Amino acid sequence: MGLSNTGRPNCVPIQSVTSKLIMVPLKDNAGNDNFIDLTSQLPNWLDLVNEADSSLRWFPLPVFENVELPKADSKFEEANSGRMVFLRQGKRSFSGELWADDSSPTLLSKLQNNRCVDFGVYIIDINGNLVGSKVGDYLYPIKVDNPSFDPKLMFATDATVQKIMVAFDFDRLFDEGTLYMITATEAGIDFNTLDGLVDVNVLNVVEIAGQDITFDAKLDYGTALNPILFKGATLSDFKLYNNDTSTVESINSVVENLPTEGNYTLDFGFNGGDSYTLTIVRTGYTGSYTWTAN
Amino acid sequence: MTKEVSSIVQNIVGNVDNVIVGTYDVLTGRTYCCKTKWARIGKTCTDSNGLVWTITQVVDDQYIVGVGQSGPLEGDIELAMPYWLTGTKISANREWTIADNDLLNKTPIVWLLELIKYKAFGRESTFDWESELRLFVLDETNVTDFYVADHREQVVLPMENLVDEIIKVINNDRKFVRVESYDVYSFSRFGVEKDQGMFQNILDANLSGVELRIVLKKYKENCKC
Repeated sequence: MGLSNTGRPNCVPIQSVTSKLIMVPLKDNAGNDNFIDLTSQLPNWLDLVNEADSSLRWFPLPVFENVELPKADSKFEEANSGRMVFLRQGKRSFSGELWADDSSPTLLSKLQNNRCVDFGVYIIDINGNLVGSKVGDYLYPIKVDNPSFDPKLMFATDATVQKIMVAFDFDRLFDEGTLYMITATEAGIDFNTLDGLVDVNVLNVVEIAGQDITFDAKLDYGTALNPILFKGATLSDFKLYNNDTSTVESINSVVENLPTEGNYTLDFGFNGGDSYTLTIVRTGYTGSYTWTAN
Repeated sequence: MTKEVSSIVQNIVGNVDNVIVGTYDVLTGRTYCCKTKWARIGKTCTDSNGLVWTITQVVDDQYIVGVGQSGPLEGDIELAMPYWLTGTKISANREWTIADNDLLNKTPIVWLLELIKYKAFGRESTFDWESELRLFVLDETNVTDFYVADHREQVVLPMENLVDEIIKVINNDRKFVRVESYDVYSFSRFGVEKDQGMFQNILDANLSGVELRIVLKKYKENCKC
C-alpha cells in the first residue's frame, strides 16, 4: 500500500477570509439531515432563508470582524525514549466579532437561545463562497459542538464600539479534509448578501366580532419605549389560517392606519369561536399570532 | 493594475445608492426623508414614475421640497448619479469639459486623481492590493452670490454626504477591507490656493466640495483559470 498521491491541478479553489456564518439545524423535524444535494439543481437560496419551517431554515449571521479559527495542538503520547505516538488532533475553534449595528443585545438574546439546538454552520468567505462538509453527494453544514456556543456582549469603550463576540468549537470528530465550497458564481449569489429573518410581534389586538381586527406590528429591536415598527405592510404580507377548518382564508383587505404607522386593520368575517393564526409572510420577516374569534 | 484600480473605484462609485425614500406631507409640501444624501437646491431628482422634479429646499437629513410636477413627490426618489472622472488635472479637465454642455448632466463629480500608487501582495497574503487614493467629490457652486457659509451648507455638506455613501459601498462589499478611518479635506472653492485665496479653477467651472483620501485594500478573489 503506497502513500496518497500529491499532485494537484491548477486553479484549485481556495477559501479566503471568513466573513460570515450561516447557522443550520442539523436535522429537520422529521429527523432527516439538512444538507445541499449536489446531484440535483441547487436550491433557491432565498427560499432557504425564508423557509416557514424553522427546522429547515437557514439562519445567516451578520458579517463578522476579526475572525479567527485556531486549531488546538494535537495530542501525543511520548515515551521515555522520546518516541511520540499520535493520539488525536486538537479541536478547531471559531471566534469572531459582530460590530456596531450588528451588536444589539436583542440579537445577543436570540443567539444565546441557539445553544439549545443541535446545529452546524456553513462558512461564507469574503468572496461570497459557501463552505461546507462534503460527504458523498451532499454538502452538510459543519457540525458545531453546540454546548460550547458562547455569544458575549462587549460594551463600548473610548476606543472600541459595542460588540457581540461569538465563540464556539467545532465538533471534535469533524474531518477538515471534507471541506468543499460552492462558489458565488456557481450558486448565482454572493452568500454574503443573505440576511436572517426579522421577528415581528403582533400586539394590542382588538377584534370587532365578525368584522375585523386591529393590531400593532412591532419588531423586537428598538428602544425600551419605542420598538421599531413593522411599517408599510400590505395584504400580501399577511396570511390568515383557520385552525379549526384547516384552511387558508382569503383576507378582504389590510390597511395601515396612517398616520399611526405599524397599526393595521385586517378586514375578514371571522367565525365566532374559531381559532385563527395570522402569519407575517413578507420576505425577510416572520411572526404569527393565534387567537379565538369572538 | 492601475487600470484595474481605477475601474474598481469606478464600480464602487457606480454602486452608490442614489435613492432617497420620501414621505410627502400635504400641509407643508415637504417630502420628509431619513437621508437627503447629496440633494441640493437647484438640482433635479426623479420620482418612481420617471417624472423629473426640481429641488427648491433642502434641510439636511430632514426634508426636501420638489417642484415642477403635479401631485406629491414621495416614494423612491432618485438623485443624479455622480459623474465619474479619472486622470490627471489636465486630462480630467479636458474630458469633463467636452463631455456635456449642461452642468446638470455632469455634476456632481467624483474624480479619481492620478497618479495611482498601489502596493501588490504576494502569495502569502490574502490581500490583492492596497492603494492610497485621492478622490475629489465636487459640485457646482455660486461664486457671486454665496458667502463661505453658503458654499459649506449648500455644496460641501451634500458632497460630504456623497462621501458617506461611497464609504458605505466599500464597507458593504466584503472584497474590501472595512474602512475604519479616512481623511476628508473640504473646500468652499475648488482651485489653486494662493495667499490671496483661490486663484484659479482646476476644472473649468466653479466648484466646491471635498477631497477624500482613503486607503483602499482589496482581498484576492477566486482564481479563474
